[in-house]
Amino acid sequence: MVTGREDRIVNGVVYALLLLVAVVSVFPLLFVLSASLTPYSEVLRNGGYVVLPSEFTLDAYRALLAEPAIPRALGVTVFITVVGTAINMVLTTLMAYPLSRRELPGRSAVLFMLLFTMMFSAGLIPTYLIVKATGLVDTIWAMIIPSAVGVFNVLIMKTFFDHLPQELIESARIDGAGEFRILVRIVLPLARPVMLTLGLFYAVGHWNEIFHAILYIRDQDLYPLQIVVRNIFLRSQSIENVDAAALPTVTMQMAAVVIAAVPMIVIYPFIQKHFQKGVLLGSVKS
Amino acid sequence: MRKFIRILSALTVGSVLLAACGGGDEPEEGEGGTVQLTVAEFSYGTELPDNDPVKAQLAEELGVDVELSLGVDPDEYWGQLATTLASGDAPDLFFVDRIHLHQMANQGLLLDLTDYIDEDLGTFDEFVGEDSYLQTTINDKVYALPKRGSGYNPNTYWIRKDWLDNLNLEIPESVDDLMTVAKAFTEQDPDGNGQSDTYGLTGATLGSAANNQAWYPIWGAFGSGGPGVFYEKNGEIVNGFDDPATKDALEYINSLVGAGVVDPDYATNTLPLDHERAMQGMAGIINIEWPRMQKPEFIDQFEELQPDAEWVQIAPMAGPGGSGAMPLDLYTSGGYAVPASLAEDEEKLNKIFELMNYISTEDGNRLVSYGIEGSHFELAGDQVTMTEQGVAESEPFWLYQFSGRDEASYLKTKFDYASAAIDFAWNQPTMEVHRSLVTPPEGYNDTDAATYAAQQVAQFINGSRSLDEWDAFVDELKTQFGYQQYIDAGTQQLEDLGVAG
Amino acid sequence: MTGVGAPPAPAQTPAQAVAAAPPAPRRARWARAWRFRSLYLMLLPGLIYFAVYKYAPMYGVIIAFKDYNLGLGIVASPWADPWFKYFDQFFSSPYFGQLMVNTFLISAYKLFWGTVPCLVLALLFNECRVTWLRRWVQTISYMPHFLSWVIVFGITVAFVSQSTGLINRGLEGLGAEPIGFLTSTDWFRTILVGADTWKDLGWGAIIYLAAMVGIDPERYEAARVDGAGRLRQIWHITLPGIRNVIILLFVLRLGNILDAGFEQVYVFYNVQVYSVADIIDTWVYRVGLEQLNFSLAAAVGLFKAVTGLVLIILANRLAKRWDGQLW
Repeated sequence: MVTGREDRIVNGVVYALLLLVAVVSVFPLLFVLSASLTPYSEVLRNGGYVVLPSEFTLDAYRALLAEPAIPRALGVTVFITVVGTAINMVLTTLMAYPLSRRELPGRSAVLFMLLFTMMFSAGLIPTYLIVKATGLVDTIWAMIIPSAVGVFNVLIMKTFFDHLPQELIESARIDGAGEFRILVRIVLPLARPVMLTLGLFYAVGHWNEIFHAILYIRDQDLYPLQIVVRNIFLRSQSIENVDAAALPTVTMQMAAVVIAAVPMIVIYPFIQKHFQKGVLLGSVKS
Repeated sequence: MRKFIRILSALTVGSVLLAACGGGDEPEEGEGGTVQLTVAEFSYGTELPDNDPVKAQLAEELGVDVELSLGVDPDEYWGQLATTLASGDAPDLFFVDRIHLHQMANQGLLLDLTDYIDEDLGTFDEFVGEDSYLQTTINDKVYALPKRGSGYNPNTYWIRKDWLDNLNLEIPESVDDLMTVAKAFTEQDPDGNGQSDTYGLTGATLGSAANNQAWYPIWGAFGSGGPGVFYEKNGEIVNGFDDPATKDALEYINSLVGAGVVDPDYATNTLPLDHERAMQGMAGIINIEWPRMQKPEFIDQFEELQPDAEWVQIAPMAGPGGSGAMPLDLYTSGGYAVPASLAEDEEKLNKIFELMNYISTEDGNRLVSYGIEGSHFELAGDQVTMTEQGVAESEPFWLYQFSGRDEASYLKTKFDYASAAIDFAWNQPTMEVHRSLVTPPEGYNDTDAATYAAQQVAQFINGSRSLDEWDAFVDELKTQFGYQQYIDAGTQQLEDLGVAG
Repeated sequence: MTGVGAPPAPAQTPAQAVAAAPPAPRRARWARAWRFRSLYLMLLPGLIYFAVYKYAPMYGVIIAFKDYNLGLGIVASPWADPWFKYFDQFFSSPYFGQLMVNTFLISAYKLFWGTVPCLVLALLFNECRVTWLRRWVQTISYMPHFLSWVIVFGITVAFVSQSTGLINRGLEGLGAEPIGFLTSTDWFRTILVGADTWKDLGWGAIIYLAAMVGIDPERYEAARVDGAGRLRQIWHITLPGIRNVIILLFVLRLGNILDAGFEQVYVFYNVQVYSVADIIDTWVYRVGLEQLNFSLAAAVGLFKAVTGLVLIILANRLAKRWDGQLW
């Protein structure tokens, strides 16, 4: 084939650029990781930047995990991530599927109505009043229910559904399958990459939850992880407070950042598996 | 993947159980005549312990269950407070500064406490002192119970004594000395490492404000209180922008920056980056509060790095405008307001007053300052000595100091190892400046003016705008940004309050 | 849906044809809707959510026209005099022009640099035949998304600080003058947008990659048989295959053109670069929320929303040409 040479050049360029991306991304990250594993004086001695620490200690991690606040917050965050994402995905799918059906009367109006809420947000206080009226303030649900559906994600899922092979859906319908059945048996397996992607988007959104917690949560026992991590930072920066004792060191701050990020990073490779060319076809045929 | 999900769900169930257990032991309703009081304030990240001895003691002593609702940082706190006020969930007592006090009082959200002061708050009244009320009084009505101010400025310049010794220099006393020393620190390799890697002075911006931490001890040398603040000069109230001394000071600061003796990142450093740089051995002079230079948890981080470092405090610089003074705004402590909705709730009001009086007594103030006698501190006569347990556990107690504390003895008791530094800061000459007592007049956009002023002052300092244009700048500020209104209103307010002029 | 009399869409299925065909008097319309009852039922929970948590509180926008008083509440607060008082406060600010320009520019740069590099990266992943390389780079480039702006700022400082930054050290090594990247009005936006691109490069690529996976492999096969090289396949199959996702994301971001990323700017900026960095949201934050001026925040929010809505409607019109309309 004549494309042999082009193939090699393209491969070369692809690998080179990917390596570049890897280098650009990874060096600043090492900054965080090494800072969490090294006494801060060591970091500063190297001009604030250590790539490979010469002294190595897990003290910061031990200290953080020994505090009751972090494991407790981790529990809260895992809960809102798992339950929240489940609710998100169910509701989003239930909206995206009908909206992907061009023949559905009123579809445009609903789409516009959704989009409208992306532009016009109601503001802090009225939203608080509704959250309060529905009894969610200072409960774990305040971090789940008010963000039960993301318009952005509905639109993305709908766009993917738009492009599924209509013949399959049509033939199922002719076979007398109901809409729910078509959705569960045909559409969802076909849409696996987008379902995983949006699941990831939602999960990461919940994992990084801080906004609703600031507004609606006063009970320290319900603080999610990111609030606790942020408080560690604020504590170390407060100068107004003479009494602040045993301030979290930079090492601890960075360790907190790592702890807060690792679980979401670890799940990513599981999702990546489904992002390879051709995997989808295999699943459809089987 | 499936296994992973199983682990997740196991964790989830665990966390639900935990949450359920955690929620169970909270006494929502007051029992046996206990009254629950919710108090909102900001904590700067201080967290309450699970078994709070101060809370328990207050419950025992007064039959009051104090439930603290903490906002972590100020900006967040105001948003949270606004939503609770809007939704009718107002706390029974909440922290306010003067600007917010003004707005909330105007909106009728606050209970007028004037009449209660004499009748029900005698002990409190005596403890906080008359001057404190300036912060919480509007049109002769007291809208919040003021917190007693600290009355001193914990900041001073600190300088590397070992560097001075290496270069055979004396401690700088005037702005000219400061220039000489800063130059020497920059150019003459004070740490003797053979590299040109040091600066005279480092600094950090204070949020988005115009002023840089680095310059505070300099303004007084020229007789100014700093740009944008009010102070008394020759028996009159002036604003820093109206004082030619401010321009002189800026000229000097500009010459410092121009000489390359200031850490080039002074404008982007956020607190506490300046501290870090000083401790790293990058700069030999820094304006900073004593706890950062004395408390072991700070020192420990850096000791290894610069084992020879010997930092000493120096007095404010002398200069053409006088022998030097540190600007000090005495009225920044704020106070605690009561929502108007409590007007009829005698029981709660009485409990609030009882609480405020109690923590203003000697015993009560000791409780919120040091903890429980016998376990957190020992008392011999009047002398409080912290126990080991006290040192370890007393950090969050300050959250209960609603009426303030006796600052000097408090600091020396809790931080006895820093007594010398505390005394130095306490006794430094100061110059009273006013910003926190001034409320911007209606229709004047303080943010725009402050933005413009901050930008231009920054340019005067770094030399991108010539100080020849100072008068033009002040004119622009007053005409285009309505700053004259602010000056007039501020002058009037300060005169009315009787603090100056 | 354009409904009656619309020319049949190319991919129309028999069911659609039937559904769209009869000219519908009112009863027929209800009858038609009834046929879709199970689809409406699916929509119902989501619609309830939007009604309760998004639309119900929307009456609150009226505080943009009121002197909002926390004690009186939204409904009872007096109307502002004049009604456009808070809009005027924004429009008549000496900084209005500067804020608009900064917001628009930063946002537009981010729109480009937050889209094209992600798209390219997704293409690279899609073309990469070495699985381990692809997996590793994918994970590594995804990680910065989990750092808060405060941390990213710390990292940025480590690179660009004037006295200690690695870049300036390098410049000094080459005999050049150090540059104050964070205080220079020439450099600040570049740094800002660069940090934004860096943070979300791998994260932003995910969605495009997911779209590429959905392309039927048989089409590549057919192209190969026709002798199309890799580049032509990318151009003629991959990119058109994800066209709708690209359009969708572009249109949505266009609607948010007046959001230039408050959090990042607030963490990154300083007084020396206000003239190029101060955006609408940072201004509102300083003016409005520090003084609890909710009416001003609401007025500016309304202005941004209307602008965004107009842009989205225009963009949607345009997108129709490529059959990528949102509604």
